[in-house]
Order: sequence, then C-alpha cells, then structure tokens
Amino acid sequence: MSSTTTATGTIVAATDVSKVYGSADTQVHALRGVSLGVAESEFTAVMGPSGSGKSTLMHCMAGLDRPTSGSITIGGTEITSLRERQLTDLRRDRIGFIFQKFNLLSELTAEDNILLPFSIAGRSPDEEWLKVVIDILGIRPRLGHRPSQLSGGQQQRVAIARALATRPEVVFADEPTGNLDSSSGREVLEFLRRSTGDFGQTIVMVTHDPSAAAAADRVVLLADGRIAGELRRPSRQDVLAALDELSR
Amino acid sequence: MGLGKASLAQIRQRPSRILLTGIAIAIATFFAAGTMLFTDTLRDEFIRSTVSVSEETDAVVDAVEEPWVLTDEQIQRVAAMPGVDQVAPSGSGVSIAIGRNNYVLRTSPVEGPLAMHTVEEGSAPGTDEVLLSRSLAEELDFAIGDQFEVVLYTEADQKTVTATLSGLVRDSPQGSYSVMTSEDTFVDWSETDGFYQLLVAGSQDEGDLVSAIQDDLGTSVLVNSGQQVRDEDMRSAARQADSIFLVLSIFVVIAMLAAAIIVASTYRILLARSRQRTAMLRCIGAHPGQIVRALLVEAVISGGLAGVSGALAAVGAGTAGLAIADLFVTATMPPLTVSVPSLLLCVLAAVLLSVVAAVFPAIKGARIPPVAAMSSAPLADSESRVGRLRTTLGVLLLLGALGLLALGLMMGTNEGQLFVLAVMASGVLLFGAVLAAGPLLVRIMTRLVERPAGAAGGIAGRLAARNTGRAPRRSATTASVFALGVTLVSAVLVGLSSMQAGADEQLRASMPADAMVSDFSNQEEVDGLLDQQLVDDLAAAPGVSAVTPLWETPLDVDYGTDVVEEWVSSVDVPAIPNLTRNIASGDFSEWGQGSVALYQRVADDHGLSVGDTVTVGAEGRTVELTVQAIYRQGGTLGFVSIHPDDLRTLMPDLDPFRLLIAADEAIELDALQQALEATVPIDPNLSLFYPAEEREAFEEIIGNLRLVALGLVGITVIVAMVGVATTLSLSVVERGQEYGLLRALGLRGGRLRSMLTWEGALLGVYATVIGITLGSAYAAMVASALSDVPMMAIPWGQLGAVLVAMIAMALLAALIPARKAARSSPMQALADD
Repeated sequence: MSSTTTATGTIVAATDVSKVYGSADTQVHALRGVSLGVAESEFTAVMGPSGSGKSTLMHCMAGLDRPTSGSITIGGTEITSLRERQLTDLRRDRIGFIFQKFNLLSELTAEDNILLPFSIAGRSPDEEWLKVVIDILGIRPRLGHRPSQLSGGQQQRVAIARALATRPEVVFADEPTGNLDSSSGREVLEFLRRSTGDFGQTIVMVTHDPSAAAAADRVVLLADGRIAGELRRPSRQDVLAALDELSR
Repeated sequence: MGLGKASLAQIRQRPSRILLTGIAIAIATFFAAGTMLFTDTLRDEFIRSTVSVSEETDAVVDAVEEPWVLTDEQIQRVAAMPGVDQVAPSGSGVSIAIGRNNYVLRTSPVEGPLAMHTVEEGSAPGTDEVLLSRSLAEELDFAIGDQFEVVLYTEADQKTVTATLSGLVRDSPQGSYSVMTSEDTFVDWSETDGFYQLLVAGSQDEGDLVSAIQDDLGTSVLVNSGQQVRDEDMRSAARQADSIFLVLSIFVVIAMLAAAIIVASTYRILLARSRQRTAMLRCIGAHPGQIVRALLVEAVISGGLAGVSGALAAVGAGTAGLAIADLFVTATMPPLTVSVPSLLLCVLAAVLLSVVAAVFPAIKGARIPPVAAMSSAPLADSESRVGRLRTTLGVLLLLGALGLLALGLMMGTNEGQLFVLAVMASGVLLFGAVLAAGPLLVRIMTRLVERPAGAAGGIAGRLAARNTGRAPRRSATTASVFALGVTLVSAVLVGLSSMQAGADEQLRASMPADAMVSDFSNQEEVDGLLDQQLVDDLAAAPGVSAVTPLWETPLDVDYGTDVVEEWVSSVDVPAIPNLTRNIASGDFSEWGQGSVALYQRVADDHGLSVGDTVTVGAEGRTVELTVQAIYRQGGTLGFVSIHPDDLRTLMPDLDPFRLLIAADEAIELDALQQALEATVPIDPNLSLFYPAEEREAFEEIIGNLRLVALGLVGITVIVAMVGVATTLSLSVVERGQEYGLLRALGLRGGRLRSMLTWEGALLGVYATVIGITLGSAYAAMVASALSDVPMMAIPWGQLGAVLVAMIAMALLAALIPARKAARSSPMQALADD
C-alpha cells in the first residue's frame, strides 16, 4: 500500500488487487489489496516466502489469472476487463515470458523456438532486432540445435531470446534461475540486467533466490498477500536481512 | 501457419507418435479396404458369371404370347434379315435325371459371337451328345466319350435315352448344375414345340436391329437389346454383391468405431502428457483454436498415412491371397478388382476417423489454463474422479438396456423379429453403459483384485492393480473396446453353437432315422415304388437293423370346428425314438389304433388338447381318434399323424411314402451307404437320404461361417489389442520417474516387467469376463428366440479357449511396454522431465 511508483514511465500498474480462492468458509486470501507499479526499463524482482502471494501477483499482472478485485493495466490497457481472446492476443503481442523449466518445444530448433511467437501471430520478425538479441545472448552457433542438444543455461538463453524477440512491453520471468547451476544462473541474470540497461526492457521476475533478487534494480517483498517492503539495488545481504525481518 | 511447423517437426522427430495414433486406424482401414476389394471383385465376378447373354449379343427375342414359343418361320425370318450375323435359339427348363440326381437341360450356343460358354475340352455337342461343367463331370465321374443313361421328364411321360459326353465347359453358377446339348437334341429330347427365346448378333446398330425385328415379328414377341438384358442381369448381380457388402460393412463400422475410441483415448493420453507444452503455448499467446488446429494437422497426417498404408496392405494381401488361392484351387481365380475411388474413399474415411477421434481430446486439451506453465501452478490430475455425468449416463443406459430386455422377453418369441431387435438394441445400450460406467467398474475391479493379485504376484501384482485403478478412465476405455471385441467373439461362438444345436434338433425331427428312402413319384396314387418286396430286401441288407414304413396322404380331417383336407402322416412313432423328442404335451406311450398326434400350431389353431377327439376320413370311411400327443417339430410327422392301423382302415392299399431305416450300431456310414445303394433300385423318383451326411454338410457350413465371422470380429479384437499396447506403452513413458524411484528403492527390473504384465492381464481378465458374459447371454437369448425349440447351446470349451486366448493376447500386448519398463534405471527418478 505504500510502495507505489507513480513515475511517468509506469508500464505495469496493479491497483488495490485482491485475489480470493474458494468460497465461504474455505476462502483463501492470496492477495489483499496490493498496489504496485513497474516502471519502464526497470528490473523488478518480487520476493516472498511460500504462500506470500508473489506467484499469484505475477499471474494476475501477466493476464494469466484474474484478480477478484482491483485493476491492472499494462501500457495503459486495463486488462482485468479483457476477454480471454483479447488477453491471449495481449500476451502474444505485448508480454514476454521466461519460465523456470525453459519450456522450449523439444522438436524445434533453437531458432524455430525463438521464432515461435511470430509463427503463432503469423507475423514476420524484425530481423535486425533478432540479430542483436541472438548475438548478445551468444547463441548464434546454437541456432540449429535442438533443446536436447543444449545445456540448461543455453536453453534458458534461447528462451530469453524468444521472450525478447517480439520487443514486448514487459517480460515476466518465473524463477528463471530455478533450474540452473549457479554460474549459468549468474549469466542469465546478467543478461536480464543488460536487457534493461541496454534495450530499456522492463522485466518482472518472481524468485525465491536472494542472489537472483540482488541482480534486480528493485526488490518488492510480499508477505501474507500484502506488500511488506521494498529494496532498491540491494546486495544479497540486504535481501537476506529483509527476508529475515519478514519471517519474524 | 501457426503451429503447423511445430506439428510437422514433432512428427518428424517422433514418428512413434504417428504409430501410436495411426496403427489402430491402419488396421481398421486395412479391413475396410479389404472389404471394398473383396466386394468389388465379387461384384465383377458375379457380373461376369450371371450375365445370361454374351457381350456381342445385340438382340434377345422372347415369345410373349401363347403358345410361348417362337416358330421356325419366325426364326428363319430373323436369320435372313440384313445385318444379322448369327441367330441361336436358347432353351432351358427341362428336368432330367442322371442316376439319382436331377439337372436342368439347356441349349445355348457354344460357338460364334453368341456363345456364353465355350467348350474348354472336347467338342460341341452333336446329336444325343451333351456338355457338362468340369466340376459336374468330376462329381459324376464321367470322362469325355462316356455314355450314360438320362431320364427325361416331359409333360406326359418320362423316357430314358442314352447320352454321350462330348466336352466340358468352365464352371459357372448357372453352368454347374445344368446339362447342355445341341438345339436338335434339345427339341428331340424335350419334345418341345419350339424355343421361347432367340439370341441375335448382328453387325448393324443395336437399336435399329431391335426395332427392325420387333416391327417384323409383331407383338407376339418382345425384343430387348442385348445391352438391356446384360444391364438387368448386372443389376441383380450387383444387388447380390451389395447385400454382402452391407453385411460386411456392419463389421467394418464396428472395427472403425473401436479404432476411433482407441485413437481418441491415445490422443487424450498424449495431450495429458503435453500439458506443460500446451500451457506454455497458451501463455505466449497461442489461441485454443490454434492448438486444436495443430493437433488436427497431426491427426490428418496420421490418418492419411494410416489410411494409405492400410489400403496398400489390403491390395497386397488381396493380390497375394488370390495368387495363393490360384495355386491350390482348380477353378481359375478372378483378377483382383482394384477400384481407385473405393480405396481413396477408405483413405478419406481413415483421415476423417482420425480427425473425429482427435477433435474432442484436442478441444479439451486446449482448454488448459495458461498459468499451468508456471512453476508455482499446481498440476491437478483431472483424471482421478469419475464424473457424475458418466455415472448417471451409465445408470440410464443400464436401465434402458434392462427395459428393452424386459420388453423383448414380454413380447416373447412370437414376435421373432421384434424380439431380436429389442434384444440387440438392449445389448448395444448395455455396452454403452459399460463404456460410460467403465471408470467406476475398473475402480471396483481393481479394488476387488488387489488382494488376490497381491497374493499371486506379490508387489508387482498389487502395484499393477493400483496402477490400473489410478487412471480408471483410460484403463476403462481400452478395456471397453477390448470387451467389445470379446463380446462379438463370444456372441458368434454361442450363436453358431446354438444354431448348430437347433439344426441338429431339426434334423432329428425331419430325418429321424439313420437313412431314409423316399418315393417322389406321384403320391396321389396308391401304388408307389416302395412295395413290400423292397421293404423286405432292405431289412435283409447288411447293416440294417429295422425298416419302418411311413405313409403320407391327404385325408379329410374334422377338427370338431371345421373339416380340412390335410396331409396326414402315419408311422409307428415309438419305433423311432427321435420322433418322441420335443413333445409339448401328452406322450406316445399309448400310441395305437384310435390315436392321433398333432403339430403344436395345428392344435393351437383349432383349440385342441390331449384327450380331445378328431375324426379323419377318406373315401366315405371315417375313424374317430383321440389326441394322444402334441409335438413341437413337424419335420417328419407333418400337421397330423395317425396310427398305421387306422390308415389301413381308411386306405388299405396305400404304399408307404418313405422308409425309415435304422442301422446296426457297429456299421460305418460308408458300408451302410454301399448296402443301400445296391438294394434300392436306381430310379430318379427314389431318393436316399443320410442325416449324418446332412449333419456333416451343415457342420461344415457352420464351421466355415464360424471362421468367417471370427475373422470379421477378429479385426475389432486386434484393434483392441493395439489399444492395450498403446495405453500401456504411454503409461510406461509417463511413469518413467516413478519406475526410476521404484528401481532406486530396490525393485528389480524384472519386477517392473511383471508389474506391466499384470496390468495387461488385469485389463484382459476384466474385458474378457464382461465380454463373454454379455456376448453369451445376448446371443443365447437371440438364438433361443429364433428357433421352434428353445435351444441354447453354450460352447463352454470354446468360451474357455476365448478366455485363455484373450488373456494371452492382452499379455502379448503388454510385452513391449513391459520390456521397456524393465529397462527403467534408478537414474530416471532423479531426472527432471
């Protein structure tokens, strides 16, 4: 309720979002009036213990789940009132996703995986931009390989390329380092950082890993369905201390 | 293009997917295409053999007025018409006998454009010469040049002539039992006034020729063009082929439905496995429609490939089958008729089947919420609950089935057709109930067998029972299709056994003795061929223990309500034990002078029962008789049967119509036949019957029918086997991690193998028990409704064999998945995806 960024460049804004599962006496309040703004070109990490509501918050913000009340806008579009079809188009055209388990199609080459959003949309990609993304991620030599021929880190880099290829307004990353060893994880985080800095990409990442959170510009802490604090450019120790504080 | 590329890539990368979804359809298509090829070939062969005039015949002239023959003058006039190349009269219908057998005498051209039959060996018949078909000559043991006596029946009389076999013609349906001769001999033998039909071949336009002849001969004849006659013949031949096709297509449809159910289940499993993938696609913006379309692309490819391979396999099998048959059968086999449109139709059907099977699972699969792609989204197993809808549907269908059954039973067997329909519809509904309530039944079954399976198979058996119950829907679908196959097999076996039993019973009634001699000469007359001399000769023949005469003659029967002239039989019934079977009421213990026995329907019609009085009379004499017995089968006794003493009172000089011969126990049929053939004079009116021969012939027919029917329903069983194999294979893939864990916990690979084998066995037992129960019960009910005498023969031995064979097949289907399971390594427990 306190930490709302109301800068001019707010891309994603959640206002007083609540999410209740179940009905009557079996109600579970996953989110209790959360308000959060994500600024353009910012790398935001959402942290919190299990059951804090961090995943629910991201699902709602990414148009994967509907809040019980409150409003969510992406790039000025109110998404809570969109129909399923429009939400799907919105995700396709204006949102990028990075998953914990990479979720690449095993039968397609890295290149075809990156182009998948264009296949779905029936559009042709911006070749220039694609070149830049592929080169920065260092996966050009791997483009003809299938996911099974790639290491975990390489697979996640292909997945990042897929998320960035459409130049989405915001990328949601769901535990992107959860399935990676620490050095691959560091590489991935480094790249996410650079994409905010170099390309002005807005990124929202959900994680429970303090080291991952420490790579973000801003860490939003959730507990019990409410925002419980916020850190700016924290170190790993800062994050750990804040989490420690939360669990008291 | 959406996700098409991904679909294609998926198929290229994992062709096994196509195998999983395609093989059931390929088998069904093979069957469908095989049926098409078979009936197309049959149709061509029918047409070839039933066309009554040759391809070059241009006009067919029929006499349509008294005296129904064409005059010589008319024939000459046609022959002399311009543009006429050949005329040939054709005649048939005169009955002749060679030895004890009767044939039809015909004449038709064997040379020139009008020839339908060509002489394959020997020469065209001259005066007093005949042609026989190859198989008939073989049967009669005649060679070209042989002379033999032929008895001719003309309107007035019968006469005997000597004929010479001049040549042989190819077998054909019409030719097999007919004897062909020259025109002159036909006229001479049959003493006919002329021919009723003239075939004409000409070099001018067919239509012109037809109208020219019609104009010339006037309205006493009808002229048809050769094409018209051939077309009409072809139509009737095609109708025959079509009706065979119709019967076969029922089985094709069943097999295709079974395949559709199996393939739909396979798609459901495949889609359940790719939940994550689908969710991700939804997440990054794929519409449900795109996901459905991508799967349908796969279904089209799978169905297309399956259809093409099934159709090609059918062509291959058909060609090979005919080639092999050609080696072993003397008759020339027809060429395989390959109709490309028919085959394309089969492929199209395969594609449609595949798409229909995929579309519902696809729609359901695409409905997965995109959030399922997220790490934190709980993956619910949607399969574990048995839907209320299913249970309700199952109960409704069961009630419907029972209702129809009750209705059928209430209608009773009097309404034969309706009863059968009701019982069959009830069977279909019951099967629907099994399909709907399958998951529940599988649950119950697994709970019941868990303990015994555990006792017999240890941990493997217990785990197998649990695994089967864990995904009850998929187990149930597979098992239901399997049960459908077993139901059909059991129904065929029980139905045919009952048919056999019913036929045996009928045979005992109609041919109650070991051999019979019947006199088919004019029965209105008192003097017959079966005189006392013959009776004595027969009684003295080796191997004969008793000869019982049976009389049959029309008498005036006064039922009390009305007087009817009925054929009345008379025989010493107690002497022939087979005749005292199937008595509805009363008995033959008091059978003697003054007794009468009635066929049940006759007794019912006239409201008579045992103890009532019937008066029988002839030529002014009457006897008053008391009803002693009412019998259910009138094969020998007819409507009314009186004691021989009473018959003698009415008609003292009547010769018997039939002699019932009882043989010594020890004598072989061959020896008896030899003795009787030597004793009974050769006369076309005297026929010898051997029930054992009839029974054998019928058994052979039933045996052939059983083979054909099992072949037809076997396809459904094979499709079901494919279902068991795919379901188990997919389960193995799905449970890789779990198997790894079991291995890590110390379960040996062999135990995993036996676990999968147990799963196959449980499915097999479940399906087989349901199938045998349903199939036998319904077939027995239908069979008992269809015969006079309630007859249900349960072939326990055969059903036992089905039980063993089906479980063995289920085990066979589990073989490959079981081997795969056994290779699971403990490492799989740690592997992620």
